[in-house]
Amino acid sequence: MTRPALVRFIAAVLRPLVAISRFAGRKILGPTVRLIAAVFHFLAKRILAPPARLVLGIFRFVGRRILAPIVRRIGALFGLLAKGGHAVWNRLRPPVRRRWRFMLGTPSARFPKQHIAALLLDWGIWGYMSYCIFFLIRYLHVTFIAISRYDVLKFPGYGWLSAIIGSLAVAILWETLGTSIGQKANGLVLVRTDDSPASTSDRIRRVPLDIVNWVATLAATVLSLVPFAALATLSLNVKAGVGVSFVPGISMWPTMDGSAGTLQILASYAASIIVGYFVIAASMRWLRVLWGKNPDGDLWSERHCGTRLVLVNELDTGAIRPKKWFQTSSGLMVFVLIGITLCVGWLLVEVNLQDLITRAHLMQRLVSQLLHPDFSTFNVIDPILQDSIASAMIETIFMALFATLLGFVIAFPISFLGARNLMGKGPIGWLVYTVTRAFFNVFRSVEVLIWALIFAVWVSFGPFAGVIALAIHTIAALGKLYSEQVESIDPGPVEAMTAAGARRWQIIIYGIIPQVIPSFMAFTMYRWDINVRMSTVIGLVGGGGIGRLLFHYKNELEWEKVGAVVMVIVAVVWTMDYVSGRVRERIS
Amino acid sequence: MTPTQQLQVENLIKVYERGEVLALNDVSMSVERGEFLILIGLSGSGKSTLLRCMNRLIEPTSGKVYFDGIDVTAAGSTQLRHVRRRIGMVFQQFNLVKRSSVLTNVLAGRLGYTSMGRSITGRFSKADIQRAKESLERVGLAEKMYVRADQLSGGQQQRVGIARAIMQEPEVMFADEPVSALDPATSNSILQYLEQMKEEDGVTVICALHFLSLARRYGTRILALNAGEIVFEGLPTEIDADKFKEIYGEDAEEVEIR
Repeated sequence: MTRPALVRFIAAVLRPLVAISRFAGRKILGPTVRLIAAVFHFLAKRILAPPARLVLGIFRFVGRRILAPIVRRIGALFGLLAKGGHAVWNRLRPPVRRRWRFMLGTPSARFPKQHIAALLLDWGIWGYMSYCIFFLIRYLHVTFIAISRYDVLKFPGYGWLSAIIGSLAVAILWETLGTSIGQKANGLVLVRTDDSPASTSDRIRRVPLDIVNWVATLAATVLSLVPFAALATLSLNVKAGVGVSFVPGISMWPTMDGSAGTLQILASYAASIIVGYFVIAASMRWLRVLWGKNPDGDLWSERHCGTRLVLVNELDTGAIRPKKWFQTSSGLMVFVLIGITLCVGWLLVEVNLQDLITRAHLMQRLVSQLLHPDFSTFNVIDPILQDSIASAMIETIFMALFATLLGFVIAFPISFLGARNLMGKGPIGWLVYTVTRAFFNVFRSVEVLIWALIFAVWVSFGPFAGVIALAIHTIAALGKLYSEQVESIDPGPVEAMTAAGARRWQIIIYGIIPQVIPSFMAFTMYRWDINVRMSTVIGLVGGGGIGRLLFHYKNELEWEKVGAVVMVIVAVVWTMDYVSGRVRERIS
Repeated sequence: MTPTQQLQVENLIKVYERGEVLALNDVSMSVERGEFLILIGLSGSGKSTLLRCMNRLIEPTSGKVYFDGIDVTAAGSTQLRHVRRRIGMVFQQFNLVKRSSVLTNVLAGRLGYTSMGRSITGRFSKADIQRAKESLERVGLAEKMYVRADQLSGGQQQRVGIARAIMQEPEVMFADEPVSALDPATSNSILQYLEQMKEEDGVTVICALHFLSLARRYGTRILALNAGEIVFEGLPTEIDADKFKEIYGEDAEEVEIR
């Protein structure tokens, strides 16, 4: 076989194979694949693609229209917060200048002290006001509304709490306005930031614009609902608020058995919110005052309202015409306080003009007896009392003299310890000063009669107990007067002697005592005068002296002898008064 | 410190706590023995504070004061008293005990040298009483010895103040505006007494004054303060109209007092 034959043979074999596979490829595989491709194409284009597009569209929409803005907004919020935080931090961080001023102890740094004092005073004033108002409501209710079936006005169990906190709240509100008595008394005044006086609208604008108020309102609404409303709701017998229970006939008002009506519960809610709000507002204000972060006053309201609180002596107020008392709220408040005190006082002490007139004849008899004094025991010893009026009176005078001298001798040296200018600025000096002044104040505030009671038990009845009682009170009273006198001396000689190298006690002897001696003498004379008057009644509680006779005769209803004793006392006291007055005149 | 230097002040600063006032701002100076140094400046410029810081009637906030080589700012209480009794001082308001006699007031200048027993009983030594009489004679008030201080005129009271300072036999006299409460003629005589002390006893005088005419007449050197800082230091003759305005401000006009 030749090679071309082999090739031809192979070709002859392969040719039909090629033809077959070409046929298969062209006519069978090709259309099938095309069909499948067409099917897939159809599927993809007509069935898969639209939902995918839809989903994509949704995703795109969500991403673009919903997510993106939110993210942007969150981002912006963070940015804002960061910015705001920075601003707040700038507010809180004391500026360098301020810190420097604070370190030096500026008047502004002393500001919180005045602010607290003002708040305490205002709180006290409004506490007094609320007591008076509650008293009047209750009193008038009992008097005029008792005819209704609701016999007494009941206050809720937390009434005292609302009174305390409510009065604080009103005090704070008053201080926000910047016109309170406390602020006036402590020299605080509200001015615009350019130091011109604040107008009424400036003051009113402070109230709602104070950010603290807003935060407090929000927090209080949430917080106050819980305890107070629960209390009001659970115990239906507790009547709400300030009790408006004397309007009968409306079902919404409390029912006959005393349980609360719907309105009352609502009122209780409202009252609770108000109380809670003020609790929080008050505590926040307090914290801020105590921290003293911004001693120049309320920075928020300063920014928003253009006003601030300053100490009046830091201002030039000479050109501003002072208002009349009835043009200021503090002046009006004083007026109201006086008025309400008169009303409450009148009702409280049960002023009864009828008795004053109808019972006058009893008084007439007494006076006529007193005016016919019986001097039979003047210098004759009364057998029961073992004493006569004259000797008891002499005893009394000597009691007064002895107690005054004793008081003088002891108070004189101690008083120097109670003088601020002598005790220096050190901690030991401060301690000695404080202890001495506290001793004076405590022992002075307890009345002589009470001291006499104590010592009558201790050393038994008699003039000795009276003398100790008088002496103790004299020491305390004179000590305080002396100390104040030492504090008000002319410091010039002290300075001169210090400069000359004198010791402290030399300065006291040569620089201070000569200055204070005349007023010390005058005070002592005045005290003697008081002691004579006091010693006449000290016998009432067992302190000896003429008071014992007075008390005895009064108990025995021997009014003629009482008259005699009283006349002797009047004569002696009058003489002493005159003598000590003349002596004091000569000294000063 | 050279031996001729009586007082030296280094970087003295005083800040008043209450009013946040910088009363002295880094004041340094020295005073030679036998000088009549005059401090001038507006009210509140720190003249009185400087004087009082030097004997620590006012505690300086920082800085040093040397008196005759002694560190006054670091002195304990006894050493401080010993420094103080070597420095006499007269005041604008005289600072006499008004109810005490002139003699008692003058003797009070001697308290720094008096023992406890003598000062409690009020029995000053014969030498002290003799010295008091001499110093009163020196200021021409010997006949007023037993008169109460408040019976005297202003000028007489200031002379008692000088006599009280003389009692200390001081090496330095501080005078804090001694003539501000007095009329011009009396002012002159008071300054003459101070000059006499300087001439006869070799006392160094440091005197705060308001009147430039008196300062020119008596001062050997002038130191001007403004807002707690030394703004001028030199001879009295060196103060001309420009310097004057520099010390007292542009609006000031010199008033001649004779």
